[in-house]
Amino acid sequence: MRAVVALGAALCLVAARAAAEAPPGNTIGYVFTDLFWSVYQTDGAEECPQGFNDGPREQFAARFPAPEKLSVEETRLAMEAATWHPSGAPHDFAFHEIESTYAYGLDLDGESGPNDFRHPDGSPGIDNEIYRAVGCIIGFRGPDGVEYIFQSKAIKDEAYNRMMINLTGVDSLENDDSITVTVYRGRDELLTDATGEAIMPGGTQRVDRRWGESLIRHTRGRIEDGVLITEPIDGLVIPWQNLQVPSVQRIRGARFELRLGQDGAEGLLAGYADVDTFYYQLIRNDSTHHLANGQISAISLYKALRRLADAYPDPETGEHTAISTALDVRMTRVHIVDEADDGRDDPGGSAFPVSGR
Amino acid sequence: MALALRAGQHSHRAGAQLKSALVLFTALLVGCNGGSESPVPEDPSAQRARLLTADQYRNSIAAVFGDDIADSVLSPMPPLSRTAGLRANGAAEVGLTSDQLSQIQRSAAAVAAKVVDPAHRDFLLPCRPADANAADAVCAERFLREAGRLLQRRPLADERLAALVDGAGRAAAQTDDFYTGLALALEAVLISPEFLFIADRSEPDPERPGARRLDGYALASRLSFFLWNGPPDDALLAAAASGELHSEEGLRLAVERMLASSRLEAGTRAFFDDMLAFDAFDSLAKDPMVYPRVTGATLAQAREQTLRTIVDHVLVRDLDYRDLFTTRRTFLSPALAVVYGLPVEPGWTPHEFSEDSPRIGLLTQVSYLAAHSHAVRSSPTQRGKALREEFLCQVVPDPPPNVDFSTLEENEHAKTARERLDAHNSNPACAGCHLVTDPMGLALEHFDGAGQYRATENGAEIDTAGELDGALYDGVEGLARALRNHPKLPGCLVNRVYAWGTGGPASPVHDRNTLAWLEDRFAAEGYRLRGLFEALATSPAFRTVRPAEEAVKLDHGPGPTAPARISEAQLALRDTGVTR
Repeated sequence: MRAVVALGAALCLVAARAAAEAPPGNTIGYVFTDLFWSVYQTDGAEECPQGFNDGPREQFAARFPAPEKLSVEETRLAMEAATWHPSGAPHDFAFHEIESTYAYGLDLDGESGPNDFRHPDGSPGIDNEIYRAVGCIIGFRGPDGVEYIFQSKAIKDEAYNRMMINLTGVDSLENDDSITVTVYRGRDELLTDATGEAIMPGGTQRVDRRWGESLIRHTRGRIEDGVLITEPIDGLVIPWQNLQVPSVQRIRGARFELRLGQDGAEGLLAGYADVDTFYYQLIRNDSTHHLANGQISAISLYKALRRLADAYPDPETGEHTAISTALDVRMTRVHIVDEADDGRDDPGGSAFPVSGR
Repeated sequence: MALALRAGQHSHRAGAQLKSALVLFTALLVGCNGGSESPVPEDPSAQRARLLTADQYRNSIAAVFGDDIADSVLSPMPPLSRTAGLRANGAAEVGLTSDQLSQIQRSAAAVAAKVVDPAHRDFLLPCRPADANAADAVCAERFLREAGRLLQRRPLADERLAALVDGAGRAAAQTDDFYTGLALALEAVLISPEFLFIADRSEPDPERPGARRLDGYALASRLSFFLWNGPPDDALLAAAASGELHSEEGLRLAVERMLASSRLEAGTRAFFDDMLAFDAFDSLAKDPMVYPRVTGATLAQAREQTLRTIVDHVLVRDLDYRDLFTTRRTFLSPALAVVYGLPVEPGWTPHEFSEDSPRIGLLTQVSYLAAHSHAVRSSPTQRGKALREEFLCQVVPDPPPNVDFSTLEENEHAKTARERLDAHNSNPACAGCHLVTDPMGLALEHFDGAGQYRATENGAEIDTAGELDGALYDGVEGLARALRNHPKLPGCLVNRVYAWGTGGPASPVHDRNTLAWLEDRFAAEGYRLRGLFEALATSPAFRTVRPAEEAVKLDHGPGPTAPARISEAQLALRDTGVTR
């Protein structure tokens, strides 16, 4: 036992030393492997005392108890129209918001108000109104909600949604008061390890300079006790893919809070999601079949999003256009190769790039 | 074939004595002239009949009918035992069981059916039958004559061709389908011993009375399987037919053309794949919990990486073979780059390790390191043993059956492989062998069982110092240079190339003069592989043969030997026509 403790201590020491060392070239890159709306869940779903929300199937049955007496236009197409042309006006169906003190997320506005959550670690002022809207919808809850399952699976299966961050000017992965963070879209598939379940670190991702140029964002950050905290990025666009359908999410004032490691990073991406973009991503990616499976009434959810939106008011109407949110993010370390940086176009360059071990 | 081989079994004692005298005479002449080149020995190589290897079977089908047909059928050829360092050597010793023959027959039927199916017949057959529902002897003969020539690597005898055409016709009449009949005749060709065995048919050598040389077609086959690992093409068969291969200039031109052909890469890859025992990769696996970054794709690409490195070095760049063990150049793929800890482009890209990198030469590539390790840890012993056997042609005995592994396993306080293996040095029963393997393997201990670099092992510094037959080194670069400069290294390659080219293990008695001469030539030409290939392919040893005891068995051995069985089966087909 003593030997095990000693070995554990030694490994911790090794890990700490490794983290304290500067990465090669003072640069380290990570690629997203998991990204999903952060939902704080308790075992008994205590945060949803009213139960879970009904989905389109339940709402259809309640609204049309005898659909055979009505036309398709009056029933199914009417609900399709309401889905694709949503309204923020209230309707007859009850919508269960989260009733919890706690939520994951960040204090985005620097204030601690009555609508804010408290982080499970006790930190106040957590802004995450999307959680309040989706937390009691089965499809958004783990481990088997339809959105929860397919979103991160799509990251591993597809390349359109390949997002990554590159940290440069890193003197230490443990503490560094100023580094540069660049967000890129990558072009390459992720490499699955020998267990077939995990994405292995050490792969290579080429920066997408052709279709991903407009997605590149730069910001500054600092590393405190192994945690990266970035300054906000206004207008982060995340290519989003689910069920083979490409779309995007737009996050304003986006910031990362990530625990960094030699092989990966894990934490939060928080900011304000554009309400309409959030909504249309959902209904573009998911057919009524999937929405019904996850008991996601898009019509009701839109009304909730409008009701709970808390930032970036429209200058004309005053209505908030964005809603605070946080996404759980996991990343794996990769080599990020940007053709804009290397000399491959140099006709005098060697056909055999020289480096490394 | 049995009769033909018997014709090659004549005693050559008188001829051998004459040749020895000629060699001595030539040597004296060269000595008188003050020449520096050693005389070309005229000792013949062994005469053999060898089974097509699985790759050669596949390549034969591909060469005649195309890759798609070749790849649609699993090669039915049996696995071969590694003999004197090469699996290919086992082809001269292997027999066929009735089950294996049955597999070959099934593959032959599948290939034949593909060749005549509607998707292929219009471009694989030189003619169309007058009536697809009836026999057509003219069209059948046109196809079978040429296909038979290419598959059997020599023209079909008239009697044989007539029997095949007759069989095709009778089957067509029975089935009302020309193509079914033709497929049956083709199937008969594909199960014939003339196709399945590369037989060194010989004839009297008119330039050396009493000696025998390969006939033109046998020489063509020996050349093509040596350099291309596949059958002769039309031009080579034409050179055999015209007798050009029996002239010095004709042979030189043929070899020159073959060395310039893109097919040389296939032959070179096959040779090194065999020499490096890469068939181990067919079943190699690493524990995914210990080495999660090493997938099946990684291991397959490790094999490919080394073959690409070799081809680039010895063929594309035509560099000194010995420098393969110190080169920094290689190629990387995305899966391999993870193991090497490097960024890389998609696909295969060239890469050169920096001078301060521990990656130097073939010994430090993942293929060598992973193949000669356990599933969960490295093995200095396996690595050292492989180094001696694969590159120096030395034989390290297997451990005795009563070996006591407890001294190794119970050393739980050992952090490094060197500490664990110290147990061997204190045990005289183990030390004898381990002292000739472990020092080389320990120099590679900065690479774990999957070939990944590690600075330490279990937190302890790794001591990589050692010695290779008098050359001291303190790390992997020193080992690489010691092996590169090892006096046995070139000779071992010469031995393996000779065996690969002539179809069986080199004889330390009969072939020693030729091997010594080839080694001299190899050295004189800067250890270039192309030069070695050319020297062997144009040497007297390559084109002349001495009786082989193995071949006698084809005629007189006990029943189970496969060639005899095939001959019986073939005779049965001839007797009854081509029917099933």
